[in-house]
Amino acid sequence: MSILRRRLEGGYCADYSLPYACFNNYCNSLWGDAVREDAGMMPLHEHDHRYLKRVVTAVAGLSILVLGFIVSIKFGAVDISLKEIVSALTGDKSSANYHIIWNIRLPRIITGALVGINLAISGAILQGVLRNPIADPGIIGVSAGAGLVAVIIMILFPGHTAYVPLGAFLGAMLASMIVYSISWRGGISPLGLILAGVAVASFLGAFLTTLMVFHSDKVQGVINWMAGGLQGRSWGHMQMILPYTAIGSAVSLAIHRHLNILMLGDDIARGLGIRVEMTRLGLIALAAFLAASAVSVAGLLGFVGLIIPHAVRLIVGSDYKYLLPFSAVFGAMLIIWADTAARMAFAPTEIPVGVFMAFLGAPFFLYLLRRGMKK
Amino acid sequence: MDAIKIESLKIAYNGKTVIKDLNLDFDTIGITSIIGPNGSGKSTILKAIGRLIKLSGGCVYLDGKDIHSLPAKAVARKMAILPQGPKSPDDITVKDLVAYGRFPYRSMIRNSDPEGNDIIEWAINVTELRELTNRYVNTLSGGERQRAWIAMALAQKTGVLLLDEPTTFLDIHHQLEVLELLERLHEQEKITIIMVIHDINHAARFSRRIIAIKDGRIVKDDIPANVITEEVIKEVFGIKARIISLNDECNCFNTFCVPYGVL
Repeated sequence: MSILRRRLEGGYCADYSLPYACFNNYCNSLWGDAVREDAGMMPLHEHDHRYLKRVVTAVAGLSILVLGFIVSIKFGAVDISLKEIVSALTGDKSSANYHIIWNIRLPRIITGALVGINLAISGAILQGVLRNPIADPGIIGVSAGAGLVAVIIMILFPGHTAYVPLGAFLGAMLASMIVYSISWRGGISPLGLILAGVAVASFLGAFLTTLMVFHSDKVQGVINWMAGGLQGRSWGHMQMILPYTAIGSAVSLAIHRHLNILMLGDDIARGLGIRVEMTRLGLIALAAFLAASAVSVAGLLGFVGLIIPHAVRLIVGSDYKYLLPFSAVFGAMLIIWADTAARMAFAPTEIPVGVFMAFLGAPFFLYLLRRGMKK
Repeated sequence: MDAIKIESLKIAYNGKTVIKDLNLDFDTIGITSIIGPNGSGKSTILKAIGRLIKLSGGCVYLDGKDIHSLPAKAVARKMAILPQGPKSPDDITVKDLVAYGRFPYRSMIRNSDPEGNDIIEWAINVTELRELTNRYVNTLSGGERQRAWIAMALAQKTGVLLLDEPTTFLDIHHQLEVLELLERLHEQEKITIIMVIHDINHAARFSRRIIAIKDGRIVKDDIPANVITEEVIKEVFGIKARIISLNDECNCFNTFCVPYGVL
């Protein structure tokens, strides 16, 4: 055990590559407590009732995620037996449904999971940075910017719809940069940023509506995209979003301590040695990247970035060490299940997963609000 | 200790100058109180030392080095600051909060804080929060909560602790409890304490040095007996007060200021 302890506590891992070192350090902070108990020192979880809750939630979340993955592969226009799924996944190309699993369902499920992870982490970061429990990626203008540029391409340049993801990504980043810079007054106040976000979103929204009114004959595909959906998502989409998910989640885990300390207020954070404005800019940029990459492949999915981090916070607490990974798992889980349900509910007609989630999301949001009011 | 020196400090908010050409030296271990009326700039001075606000001019030195040229975390390892009325999220335990005090010793790629847990334990014990370790900070009483925040600042293991009105919103029992804790920290742990405080008698009772501020300038900077006088109190606060001295065995504290009217 002492070897393990030295390994964990003395973990000076500058000789590893950066992402690995970040991850290793993060793991040490998760498991270090168990090691302390083993060494007969003061256990950090002594009478900490949250510990059990976190373990149970982790097991439940991962199980439901895996179950959702299986169900989502199995059911659809064609139902596939479990045996066939196993043989196709292990590389048996002779299976009749090999093509459906590998080229239709799997890329769609994985893209959906990555979209869920990005939106949930982005929302978790923004709720902390803005110290506002109902912040979501839309609040920094991501949806409005992505929506406007995507609609411009789809309506005015219908021959170039291949550029919709790139355009949506750039629109989202541009809009969040505008929101950030107009709320800058020698520094950023969270409330100022939220107000600027609302103003920019409605301004861009007005353009979008005007465009749709003048081209009402072409809005069919636009409406589908704006509702957010995963229909026909391929490995190409997955490759588009994967780097953002990988880098974004590694970086956000590496700076989970910064997020925790920003929650204590700007003055406390400065006193503890955080460069508040720089850190806040970096975190908002990270959240914008994550959300922009998600909307660029899946359209304007609402509610994941709001509901998942909020709900996870209620269950596992607001410590970002737990909030971030749990949000990622539950974000992926929600999208996979919602997408499966959206495919199945009115088969053969698919409803966009975004619409389906808003159906689920709005009542849940009301529940949270009422719960908050009772306090 | 790490000496703090303020040189020709100037602070302006929205173009309005609050502090102009202020010089101060803190080079001996002790408890120093800064007193003055509302809007006198006493909190501003503390925030300037704790680099919470931008300076419009002048310089703050820590150990001879410009505080704004040092890495933020390096400063946080030498000097801790507790602002007025800090707020924590709803579900942070005392232990979580105190652990945040170790932030300046951690880095993103190194887990190099082997003595961190021992220091967290020490900070919890010295502030007598042992029994409350796993309670949520927001469920504590005002006095306990203030001790938890002080424990967080202590976990930074600094030689200097700055506090902005540490006793505001507390009843008299908890005010004295917090101040006695600070006195103990000074005596046993040799921590230099600089605080802004409203109560003149508490300043006199607990500090070795009092700085009286009015309109952003120093009126008097001396030992309590020379600051707590009818003339200084009159000039700084604009009030009429009697100063009473007792000749009994308690040689630690025998001067009282009894205010009885405004000028």
